[in-house]
Amino acid sequence: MIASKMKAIAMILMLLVSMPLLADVSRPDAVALVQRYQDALRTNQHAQLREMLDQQARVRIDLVQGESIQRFTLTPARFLQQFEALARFARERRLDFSSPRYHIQPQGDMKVVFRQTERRVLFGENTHQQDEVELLLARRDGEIRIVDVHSQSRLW
Amino acid sequence: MRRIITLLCCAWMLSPTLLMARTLCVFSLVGAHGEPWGTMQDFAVMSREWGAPVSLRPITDERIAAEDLRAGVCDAALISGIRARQFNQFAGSLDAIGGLPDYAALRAMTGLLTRPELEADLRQGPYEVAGVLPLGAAYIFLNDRRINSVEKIAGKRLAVLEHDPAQQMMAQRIGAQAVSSDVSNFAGKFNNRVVDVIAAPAVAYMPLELYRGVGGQGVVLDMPVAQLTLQLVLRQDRFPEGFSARAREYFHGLFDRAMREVIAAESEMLFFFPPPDADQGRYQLLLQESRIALTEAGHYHPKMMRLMKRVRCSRHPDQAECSDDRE
Repeated sequence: MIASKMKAIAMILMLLVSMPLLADVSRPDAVALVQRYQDALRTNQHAQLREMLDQQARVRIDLVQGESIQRFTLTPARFLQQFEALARFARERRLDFSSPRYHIQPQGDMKVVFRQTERRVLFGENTHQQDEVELLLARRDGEIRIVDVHSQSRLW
Repeated sequence: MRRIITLLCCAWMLSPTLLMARTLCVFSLVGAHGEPWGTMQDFAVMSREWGAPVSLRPITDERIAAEDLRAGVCDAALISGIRARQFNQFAGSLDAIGGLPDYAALRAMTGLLTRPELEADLRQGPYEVAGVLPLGAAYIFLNDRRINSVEKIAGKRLAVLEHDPAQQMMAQRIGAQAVSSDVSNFAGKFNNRVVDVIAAPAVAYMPLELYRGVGGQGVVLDMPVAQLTLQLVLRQDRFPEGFSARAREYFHGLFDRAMREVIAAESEMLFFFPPPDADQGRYQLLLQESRIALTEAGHYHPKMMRLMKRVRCSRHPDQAECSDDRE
């Protein structure tokens, strides 16, 4: 009885220890992708962003306006187009990111959470945007891609 | 003396061609350059090959282009579908509110208009529609993102085209304060905050600087309210038999070229978001109900509305409207 309990505990421990190894997206891979993602945003490398975002990705923006939150679901193409349009109109952009936190998901995907803060001059006015970003990274056709974007955003 | 007579003879021999050159008035806000002027220059070359030379005349005021067509000063005019509705209600209803949801549907519809069985519908009195070019979807531009639902548009100042009773009726339905405008001044009113809401195609965004009106606090709703077109309306008696059918084929062949410009313009728009998820259904219902009411009120041609429904339902047969017979 005790032996079988010990065996079960040992198996659970082994599973826990081996989870990062079993994950489709390893932490080093996720760190590298998030770094590339943030660099691409900072330097307006839209082609790189396009490569990282899965074509079927789900993009949800929860826009916080005062007390109310409204959810917008965007196509990946529209999401990327907005970065490009913003790069065209905004001046003196400055992007800052908090340290990302990585969470392995049960199915082997990786959830990454960070805060993105942007200051910019838009149409002559200083404007700000703060996004609480959650990215889900998964392997698609052998490549690690962003398959889900969820951002809670405030603009002021 | 002999030389003068020879010159006169030459002039007399040339004159039938010159006299026969018809005037095609092209409504273009930017005059004789850019689009659609370039497209119409190519068309003028084709017209000559078809034995009906045209001389192009740019007109920056669309109302004048329509009046000159009616007065016979222009033998043909390229004007917006909304303005063309007065000359042909059937083709003019292509630009109906909520008529076609996407560009593939519009492409299918303009293809249908090249069919001989619809030729009679494209003639109305002395006029005939001899070509349709896509101008892109009309989107709702708001100067304040807090106007984030159909209900919140109520009471806001909405620019409506003075020659489109359908827009005035739509404004009434949603409880907006209609501000009569025309193509040449609606952008100025939006950019200077005389109005809060406009509907416009993406191709107007950069040239008319609509981004100034949207600013950092506004939004452009990524939901086509209508598919806007440019239509070539001509006086039938001034063109040879078969010319219009050829022209319709020609313009349909330009669909993809025109769309490239539309898509490029749409890629430039900032804060171009779909309506909030919770409001999508209400916006769609508003468009559908408005379209039906406007048809019942006689603004849109019932046959065109039926054809557009057929196109919509052939592409999305699961839509609720496809199992009713309201249109």
